[in-house]
Amino acid sequence: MHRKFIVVVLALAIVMSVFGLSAFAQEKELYSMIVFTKGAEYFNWTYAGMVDAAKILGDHIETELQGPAEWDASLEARTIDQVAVKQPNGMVVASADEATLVPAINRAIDRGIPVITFDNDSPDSKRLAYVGTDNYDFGAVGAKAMGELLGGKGEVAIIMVPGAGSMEERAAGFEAELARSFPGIKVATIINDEGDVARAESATTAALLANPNIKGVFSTHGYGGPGAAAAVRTLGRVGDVVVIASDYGGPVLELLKTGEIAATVADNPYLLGFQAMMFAYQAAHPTDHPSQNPPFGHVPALIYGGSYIITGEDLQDPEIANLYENPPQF
Amino acid sequence: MNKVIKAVRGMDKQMGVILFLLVVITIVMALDNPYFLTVHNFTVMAEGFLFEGIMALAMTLVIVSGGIDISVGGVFPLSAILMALMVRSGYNYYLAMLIVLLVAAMIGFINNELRRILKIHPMIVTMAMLLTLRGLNLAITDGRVISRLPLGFIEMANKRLMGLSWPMLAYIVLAMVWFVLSKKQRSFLHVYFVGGNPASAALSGIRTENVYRMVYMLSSMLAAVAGILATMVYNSASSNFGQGIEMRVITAVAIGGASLTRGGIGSIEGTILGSLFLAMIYNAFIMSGVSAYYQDVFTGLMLVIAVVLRTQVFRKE
Amino acid sequence: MREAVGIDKVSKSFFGNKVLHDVSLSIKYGEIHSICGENGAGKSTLMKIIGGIYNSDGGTITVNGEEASLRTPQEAYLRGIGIVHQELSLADNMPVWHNIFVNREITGPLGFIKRRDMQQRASEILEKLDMRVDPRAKVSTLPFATKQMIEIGKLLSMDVDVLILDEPTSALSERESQALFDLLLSLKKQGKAIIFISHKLDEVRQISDRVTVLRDGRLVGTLTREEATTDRIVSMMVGRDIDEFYPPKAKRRDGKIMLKCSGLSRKDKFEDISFDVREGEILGLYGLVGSGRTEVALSLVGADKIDSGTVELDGMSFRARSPRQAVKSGLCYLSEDRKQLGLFLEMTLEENFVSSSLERVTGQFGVIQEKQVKSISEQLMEQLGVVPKRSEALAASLSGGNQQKVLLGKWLSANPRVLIVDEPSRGVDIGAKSNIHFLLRELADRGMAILMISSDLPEILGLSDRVMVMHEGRLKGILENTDLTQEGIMNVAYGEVGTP
Repeated sequence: MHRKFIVVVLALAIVMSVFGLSAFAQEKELYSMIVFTKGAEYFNWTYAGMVDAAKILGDHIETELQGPAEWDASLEARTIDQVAVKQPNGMVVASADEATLVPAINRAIDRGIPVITFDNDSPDSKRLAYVGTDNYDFGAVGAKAMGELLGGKGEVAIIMVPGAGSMEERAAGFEAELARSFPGIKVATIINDEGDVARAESATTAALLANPNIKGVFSTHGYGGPGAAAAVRTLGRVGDVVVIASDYGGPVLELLKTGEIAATVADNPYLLGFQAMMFAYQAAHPTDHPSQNPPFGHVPALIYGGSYIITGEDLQDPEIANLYENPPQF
Repeated sequence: MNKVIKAVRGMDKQMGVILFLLVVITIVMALDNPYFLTVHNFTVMAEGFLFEGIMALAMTLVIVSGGIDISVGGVFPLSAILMALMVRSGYNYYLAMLIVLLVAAMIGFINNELRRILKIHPMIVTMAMLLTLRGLNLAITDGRVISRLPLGFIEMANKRLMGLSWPMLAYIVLAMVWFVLSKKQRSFLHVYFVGGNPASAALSGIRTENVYRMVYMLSSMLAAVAGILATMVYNSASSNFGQGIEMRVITAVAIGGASLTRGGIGSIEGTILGSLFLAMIYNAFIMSGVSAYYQDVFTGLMLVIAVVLRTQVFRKE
Repeated sequence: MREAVGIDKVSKSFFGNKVLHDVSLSIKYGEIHSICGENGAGKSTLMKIIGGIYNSDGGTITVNGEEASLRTPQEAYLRGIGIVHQELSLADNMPVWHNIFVNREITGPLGFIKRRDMQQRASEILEKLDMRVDPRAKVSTLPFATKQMIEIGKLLSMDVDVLILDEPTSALSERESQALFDLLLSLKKQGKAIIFISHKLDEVRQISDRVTVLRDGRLVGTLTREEATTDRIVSMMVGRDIDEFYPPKAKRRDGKIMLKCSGLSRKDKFEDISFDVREGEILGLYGLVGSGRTEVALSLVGADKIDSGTVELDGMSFRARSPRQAVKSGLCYLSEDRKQLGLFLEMTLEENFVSSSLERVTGQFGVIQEKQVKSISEQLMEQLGVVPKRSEALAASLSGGNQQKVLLGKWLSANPRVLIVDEPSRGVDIGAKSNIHFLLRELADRGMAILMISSDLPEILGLSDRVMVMHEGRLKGILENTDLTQEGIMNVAYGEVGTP
């Protein structure tokens, strides 16, 4: 009896302490950011932008970050449905894929919740606006850096997961820009690493062994760069093979400093989150001027955040280094 | 009222604990968030766990038989993908469903044959199958989401019967059928014998291999049903569907009182309750806005508490 | 009497090892026919062939005068033959009624079972056996003896006319065995043929009409009830006359008190148990399953708690917190169930031998010293007479008696000062049994204090220097083993007042 009592009290205490503390306040405005692979540094940057935007808009604006830890569009769709029950004033959504979320986003819109997509779009849905990165341009920025580092000749490989929309576009932009500005550089192979560091390392090692002429590797996503750098190190070809990464997750920054990654292409997740929040607020607060998305307020249908190159040299500046090295955490 | 009390008393102890926790969470959440105790939320909550719920029904049998089937995490997306591909290329919807079910039955059959012939633990066999299918899914779709399904299909998929969506309807029907079968149908009851004491089941003349084959095939087939329903719900299919779904399914079964370490223990009603419990936990985290990072920690703690209550505290009573 | 089963020149080999040589035998209706033989004599194999579990390599079996093919248990059932197995074939997690009707369920359309009908019929069957058991009870909640009766009920419900019981009494108490025998005798009167296998020769003599003895896979002969004296059966079994079953008693009884318990109690298990064991002495602890004897042992070695009372080991106050600590202090417990508690069946003999004394063979950095392992195990195998003499053989591949020896060896390698053995010879054939008895005596003579738990009265009488009797968690008395009889012990066990 004694033991049973303790266990029951323990169970109660856990339930109460987890769910009981968050007071739900009605007079405030709630904006929900819904992402996939929640916990990824990238989405923490976007959420940091959202939080800062909310601060500018006032103390009555509350934000939350929701979404599955897995890259699973079906799970994200369920999260949208469940968040929509709370009737948040707006939702900003990074779509795990462009099609699967369509019904869920449309249901939220039909319930009067403005939905803005960011990072990854869902164009077939009724979402009001998309705040994104021009991935084609992103790839092109990478190609320019690659072309300059290789002196305009040689063979290169692209790390990507075939079929993942944004990576496909980055790869296409990369290839097109190479063809336009650096016709001496040939894309020798595509390396599929399934978005995983360890696989990136093993697959790149295999590719470099199979074709020693490959002098440059461009990863279209955040994990490929460190994987490729590890492969180059293992093969003892640091300095011989140029690695250009994507984004600026922790290992990428370290490797930029040691020079094992020559440069990384960065989009601007902070800005994406910031703008998405602003648009959601705008959409939730219509003006007298007639809007093209009644009953929601004015928002542009599409806006890009832009991409740029970060090199090891940039990180010499302690202020810049500090910014990148201490990513926000939620 | 007396009947209710009697029913609760007669219940498995672990189910009692889960039911108690369900009530506690409901009360805490209702005080916390005015939207929690709404029909809409409960519908969404249930729909958020239907695929797992359906798969958990068949998984219960696998686990009761003393095995496990991880491969459902691969069958689920594969079925969604095949369904979407066939519908998109103009197959009759019902024919497409039938083909998907047959493919799934085949996978279950292969799982069992590998287990039988190679004599390796079903965990390994089905894990190998899971990895194979995940690779196959990527290969079939080239990693792309399959969408733009015919309007006729989407219309059919969005239809509601008595206000219930297809998945909801499917779950209610399947849960009832499974419940009745698990209590009354001969072959289903034999699963308990095979799981409880395989050697004696064989001595009693039960064809144990037939029983194993049945449970693995059913497991795959219900995963396929869930996959078909996913295609209908999302109007699309992708190889990234169902990440980690096998673990959620197994967790639901375990919370419902089935024993993963020795066969013969577990019930459909327990699994239904376990599914409901997990559905509510996922919903409660979203509704309360508490970081979902703690969700797994919380689920794990609840699982431990439920099992401790069952095996340690109530053991002597 | 009509012949039920005729066995004619049946042979069987396993992996080229011939275990049955042209055995011929006739079983009649209305008789209890016992089969005796040492382990490995082929008794179980022969029964399994009759029961359809094994297929014979040669020879024929006739049932009711017709040649019968018995390739599966089902075919055997159809011919009216059923086996009650040594390891019960009941599913613990299922109710009694379903165990009785498993795979023969009364079903309606779609294979839907008719639960009520089966429960009804199950309770009729149980009533016939004079058992008061709710057919809806889960088997796991029932005592072992009841399970065995249910198994018999299951066979009877199949209209079985030939009943094979393989070691049915090995886990039963005296009283439960008597109930079983009453049942067998009444079944015999109903005209059933009953084949009975047991190591306990007094049981065999008590109930058999005929006794057949097998040795090394060959039929030695069949005795009538009158001819079947214990000596005769034993000499046929071992192929020689055995004059002396048991070793002599202790040489000296004035050794130091090694283990002394006063007022030990554990809630719901045992109460106020006090005794001592001296160096060089074997103290027999007699009690039935459920008397608390094993529980006392488990508590002593720290596998279970002691609520109150004191223990002294070699004159020092002692309370084991774990079996590991007990072993370190020189107190070892040799478990009753060698499969569940003691032996690592999937490991080799040498691994088993050293598993309780790893410190002795572990060198620097925790590395196991293979050489030492080898020498320890070879010495033990020599001493114990383990067959086969290969230290790298898997424990699972050994016969029951040899497994028991290995288990003994496992604890001997830890050099205990006090050894508690629980049912040391259960399920072991006569030769091996005697071997174990002499070994225990030798250990005692070398100065070990031994507490031997057993429900086998002849063993208790034959081996103990003193006998301690427990019943329902209480100590009923400690008796000097001079002129003790089985009846005397039983009287103490069931009597109202114990002699302290």
